[in-house]
Amino acid sequence: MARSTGRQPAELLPLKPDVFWILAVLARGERHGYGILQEAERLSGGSVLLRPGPLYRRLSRLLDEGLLVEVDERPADVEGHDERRRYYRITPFGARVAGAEAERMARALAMARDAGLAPEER
Amino acid sequence: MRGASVVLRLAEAAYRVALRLYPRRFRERFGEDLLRAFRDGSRGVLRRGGWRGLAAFWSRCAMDALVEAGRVRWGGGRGAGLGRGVDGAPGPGRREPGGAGALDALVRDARDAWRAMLRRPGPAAVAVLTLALGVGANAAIFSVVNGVLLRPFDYPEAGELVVLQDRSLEGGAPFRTTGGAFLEWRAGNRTLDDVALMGGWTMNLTEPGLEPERVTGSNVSESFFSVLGVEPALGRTFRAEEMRGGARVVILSDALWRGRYGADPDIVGRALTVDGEAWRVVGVMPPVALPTPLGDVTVDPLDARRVWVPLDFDSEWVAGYRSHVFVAIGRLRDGVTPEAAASDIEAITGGIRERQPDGYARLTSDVRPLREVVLGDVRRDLWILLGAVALVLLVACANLTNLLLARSVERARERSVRAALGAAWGRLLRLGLLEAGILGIAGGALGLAAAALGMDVLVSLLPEDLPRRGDIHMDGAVLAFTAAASLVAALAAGLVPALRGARPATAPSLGSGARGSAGHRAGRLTRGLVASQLALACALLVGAGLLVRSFQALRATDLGADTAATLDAEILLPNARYGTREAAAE
Repeated sequence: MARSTGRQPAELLPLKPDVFWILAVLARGERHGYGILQEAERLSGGSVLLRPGPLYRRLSRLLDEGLLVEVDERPADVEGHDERRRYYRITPFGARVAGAEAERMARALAMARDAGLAPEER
Repeated sequence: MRGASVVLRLAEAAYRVALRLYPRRFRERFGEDLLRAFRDGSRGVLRRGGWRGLAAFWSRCAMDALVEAGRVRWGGGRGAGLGRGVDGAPGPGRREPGGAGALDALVRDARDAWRAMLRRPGPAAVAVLTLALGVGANAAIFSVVNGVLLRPFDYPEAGELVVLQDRSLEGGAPFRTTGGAFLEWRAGNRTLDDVALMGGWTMNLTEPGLEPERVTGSNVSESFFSVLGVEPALGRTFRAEEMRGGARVVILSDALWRGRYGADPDIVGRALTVDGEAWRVVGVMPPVALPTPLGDVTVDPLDARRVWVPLDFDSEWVAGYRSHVFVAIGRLRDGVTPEAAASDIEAITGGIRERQPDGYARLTSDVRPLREVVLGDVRRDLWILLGAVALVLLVACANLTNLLLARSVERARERSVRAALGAAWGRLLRLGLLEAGILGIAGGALGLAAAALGMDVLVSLLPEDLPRRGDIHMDGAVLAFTAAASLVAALAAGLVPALRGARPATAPSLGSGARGSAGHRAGRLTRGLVASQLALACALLVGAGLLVRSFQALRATDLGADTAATLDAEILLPNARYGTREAAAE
């Protein structure tokens, strides 16, 4: 069960890139720890390489802050799942935090475009 | 591949051990997952990147375990990647210390330095080995210097102890003195607290039930142990009345008591068979390095098996002026210098010269500090030796500087990017120094291990008669010296490359790999370093030549004792029988 800490998403910004990626991956569906690593690598075309050590520490913290929960049921669409693995699911609060971070990045990108620092959207 | 799966399983077991660094709660929650990720990751990396990739992966995992465990235990809010220092209550089992940010930065820098070295392990390995050689040689030689020269003697206020011997009026090396001179010195001096006399002889211990053993014994005056300031571990020392009439009492050394008599707690009062006769044990000495009775004036190693027996001043041979077989040891009064004592004693010997023309016609006395007599020329030779290995370390440092400089040029581009992104000068400098520091720690540890292993071989190469040779080993002082030497060496070597590396980037470096002016400057510095290394190596060769000669000189050094007098002592007969054969001994 997610712990409600009564906090606003804005208090937790900015997110480290790794954390944002974890939330982004889990937003697409539940995964176990190693699956998060693999999916992040796949989605980013190999540029985001999370490592198990920091990953589990971040998962632990995200669980404590209520952005994620652990799940007991196995999602139906995952192949080759292992019953003993723990799966993680993003909470509504976690989704709001990730969304807030995405908005922050979008604002930064817009300002960069205004200043001619970033290419216009193709 | 069977072999591969065995290695993988071993690595897994090692990783499981590494996971114990994490707090127990975290381990219970995520331990299995971490292990699984390690296992799956290992297989994947092996498939994609081969054994080299696997080695890199494993060292990353090891580093992660170390760092992340620390972060889980003590990392602040920033470490978790959520906001700028979360103000909420800390999670279960975690603390929030104030300096979390600084610790994180240091850890990050250390990890960057570590990873940078792993990318090119070849040069790093060479650097570590070079440093290990320099540091190891220094550690080994310093152990010798420490054990022989720096370590204080086992006696309280050993600086107050002087050795009194005889010497020819024309000069030359001192030689052993007589009992008659000793008695006059003891009675007539004004500069010494007390004086003791020591001679030597060899005897056979032949108790029934034990192996016969030949032991070197020491006949001493009753003041011997009190002058040195050593209390017996068991029993007592000799009394004044035992110095006459041939009392058959004996004191044992600690090594003899333990080695021959099995540390018998009732040894005091027990009878020993010395040269066929019964002698009674009255005391046992603690494990202290006491003066050696025969040969050069030096101190015994701690495992020396010795006995001490009383001198018999009733005997003309002992109390006379003709048998130059004894060494006298005195303790200076407070505030008296050895020179003052020398004048005092020489004055007394002047009187002996007049009254004993047969024995002391052209003789005077020689009074020197115990330390000087025992160590003598060895001091100079050992310091020269230490100087030579210090040169070796210098060469290693120059080597290391060259290496780090080359790497810093290679990574100029990487550093330009960092600097452009706002990395402070201080941080870049810290990175460079951290890398040097890590190499220093690794080289130092390796060098220390090598020195520890080679210590026995080194000691066996030292001259047999090197004073205090038996008690040379690596102790806390050597450890501290080695740690300091390796860190200083590494940081000194790494300072210049780190400073160069931290300099602001020039535009060409950010381009497509152009080296430009940075390359020229580095080239000059490199050439300068190569030249200096060559010069140092030449100096080292010359030094090595001098060293070999010093070593030979060490072996042949006459440390002050007259060998003729030593020979006399060797053929002298046991106390018990000197009464009848005294004339023959003369």
